[in-house]
Amino acid sequence: MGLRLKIISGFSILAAMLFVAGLIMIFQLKKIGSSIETLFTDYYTSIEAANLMGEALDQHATGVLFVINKDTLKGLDMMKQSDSLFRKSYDQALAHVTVKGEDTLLATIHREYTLYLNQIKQQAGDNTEVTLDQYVNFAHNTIGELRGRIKELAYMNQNAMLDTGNLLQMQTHQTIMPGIIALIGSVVFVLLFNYMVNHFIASPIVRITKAVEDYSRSKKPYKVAIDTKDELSRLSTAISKLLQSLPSR
Amino acid sequence: MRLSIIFRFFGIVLLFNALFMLISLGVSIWYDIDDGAFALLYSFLITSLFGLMPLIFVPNTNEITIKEGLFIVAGSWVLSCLIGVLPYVMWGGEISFADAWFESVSGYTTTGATILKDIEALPRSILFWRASTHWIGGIGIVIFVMVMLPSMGNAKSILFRSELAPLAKDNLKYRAREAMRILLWVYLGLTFVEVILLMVFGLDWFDAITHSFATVATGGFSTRNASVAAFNNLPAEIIIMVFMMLSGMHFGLLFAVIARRRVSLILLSVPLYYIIANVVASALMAWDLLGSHFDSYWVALRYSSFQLLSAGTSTGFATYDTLGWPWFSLMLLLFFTLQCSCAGSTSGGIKVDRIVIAWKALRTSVRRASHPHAIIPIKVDGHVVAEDTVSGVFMFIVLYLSIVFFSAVALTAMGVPALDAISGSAATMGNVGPGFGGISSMSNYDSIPLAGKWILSGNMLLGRLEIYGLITLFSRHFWR
Repeated sequence: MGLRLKIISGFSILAAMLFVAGLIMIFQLKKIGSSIETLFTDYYTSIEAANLMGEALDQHATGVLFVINKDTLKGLDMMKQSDSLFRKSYDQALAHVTVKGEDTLLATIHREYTLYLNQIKQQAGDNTEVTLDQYVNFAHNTIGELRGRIKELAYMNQNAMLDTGNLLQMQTHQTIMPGIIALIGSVVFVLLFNYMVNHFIASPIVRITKAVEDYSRSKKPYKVAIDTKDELSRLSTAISKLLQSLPSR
Repeated sequence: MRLSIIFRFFGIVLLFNALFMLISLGVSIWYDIDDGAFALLYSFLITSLFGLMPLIFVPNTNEITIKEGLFIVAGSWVLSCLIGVLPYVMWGGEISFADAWFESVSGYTTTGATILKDIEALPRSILFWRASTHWIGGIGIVIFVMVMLPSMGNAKSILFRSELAPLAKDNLKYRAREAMRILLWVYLGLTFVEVILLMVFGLDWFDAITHSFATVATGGFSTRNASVAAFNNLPAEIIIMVFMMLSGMHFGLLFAVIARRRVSLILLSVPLYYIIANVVASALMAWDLLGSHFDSYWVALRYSSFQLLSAGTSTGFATYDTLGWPWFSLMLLLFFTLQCSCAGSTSGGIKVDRIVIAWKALRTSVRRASHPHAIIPIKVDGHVVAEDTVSGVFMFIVLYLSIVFFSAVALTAMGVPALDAISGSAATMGNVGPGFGGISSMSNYDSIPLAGKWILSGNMLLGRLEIYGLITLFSRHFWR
């Protein structure tokens, strides 16, 4: 291999090491950005939606109690408003499904909520005549289960948030490591490259120069052994031949 | 010593390691680019670039001196362990640098001791790399030194002096190149056949390859937290046992028995003792465990024979947790952890050959005491063993046990319980892996203090390089 190629290869290796480290760091940073986005948009929105669904459910139950307490108009208004809030929050949660099993859980929440509304309608009918005992009998269990599901949805997203946090920590580590390794690797490489250049390029040049000087000064025979099969060994051979061809003075 | 020549050989070693990093990267791609992809990609690049550099500058040479040869062999192990750290530290997880070094040294030296609490949390590509280090280490200790042989002259005798038991001589009748070829083919053949058999009996290709790597190299890294027990697969356990046993035998002998049909070689003292000792000890252990841990003798034999072969071949797989086993069983396991298998195999430990020579020497000295004027040579299978070989064997055994003892003392000084310290020192020195107590077959070395992990890593390297290979580098005479 020629001298030029050797030196270019050395610098190319160094450049490749740093370039790939940089690429990996950029990619990992992008992944971290995406994880943060997921953390704040999807998980946070889902947790918020779950909280609102729970609030809406409480509001709805209060509305039913108002109706039972013969404050029908206020009760029906509250029920209507809470239903609207529940559906809006539900749609919001559905739009940010990210965790495995979250869609199934949301489908169950929807089914149980519809069942609860149907039970209210069946019992109360259009005249909204329903007693507290009747309400406790038919709706209490359903609403309890529904609250449980909504809490489960919030926990699910909180756990996913925690996992993403751990993942972020790991991704940060994976982002930093190529940099650290490239840093240490570059120092080691420079030392090694310096040794190689000194041993296989600079040192032969010094030896050739000294041998030529010795020849010109004191006619000391030119003897320089160069192991490498590159321009330097050819140069040494050429000088040797040249000196041999010179007429002795 | 010519540093540039040493760098050139180191470069070849790095490229060999880089090849396995590339294969592990392929595994990552196969599993939809798992979390280990970037760690392996960058490790591959760094390793291959560092490997290429000396090859570009340093001209090829076939002539190296004994000192250079020794330095290349020992240095290659340390360098491989160092470069093997990269995929672990790049991946991160629960692994710090000291832990990654311990895991890497454990992999290359085919020890199989781990600091990982949750092995299954590692991406499959990193698990594959972990198993590959075993396979490189297993082939490295046998083949790499043999590759060096043609140009090492007397270094051959320095490196293998302790291993030149009569049985080993049979192998060394081959020329070095032929011996290297035989060892390589036996190694590849055993791995290939085991992979096929494990796949036939229900393991997927990933588990079959990784466990075959770990078995044939007598390593012991599993891809499961519960080691081989996770499969609950009796045929797979039997296959692994058979291959552990085979991998603990002299590869030259295996070749002669299988390819040259010289079955009678099995009846030589070393392999015969190796087989009988393992069978008898398994039976005794099963008897000891009967009642206290198992209701049936055959069930006891299933687990005792696996654990015994695992320790006795320096593999380190597990099908049962030895924690709480009776002391007699633990003492048997400790003896086999110290002794391990035959010279010329991939296993570690004092080795059966030395035990046989030591035993014959002791018996001869008793006879010499009764007949002080008689000239009674020490013989193994009719061959006279040279006195310096015998003294070398005893020196090795004393040195080996001293290192085990002093590293155990150092561990107890750090607060490690005595059982963990003694068994851990013996298990790492013998490249076995699991010890007893807190580091039993189903546990890990995570609880060992940081300084203790460095000491045990040193033990693994000393054990793998048969002590002299490493300590020679630290002697003043070597550097004169």
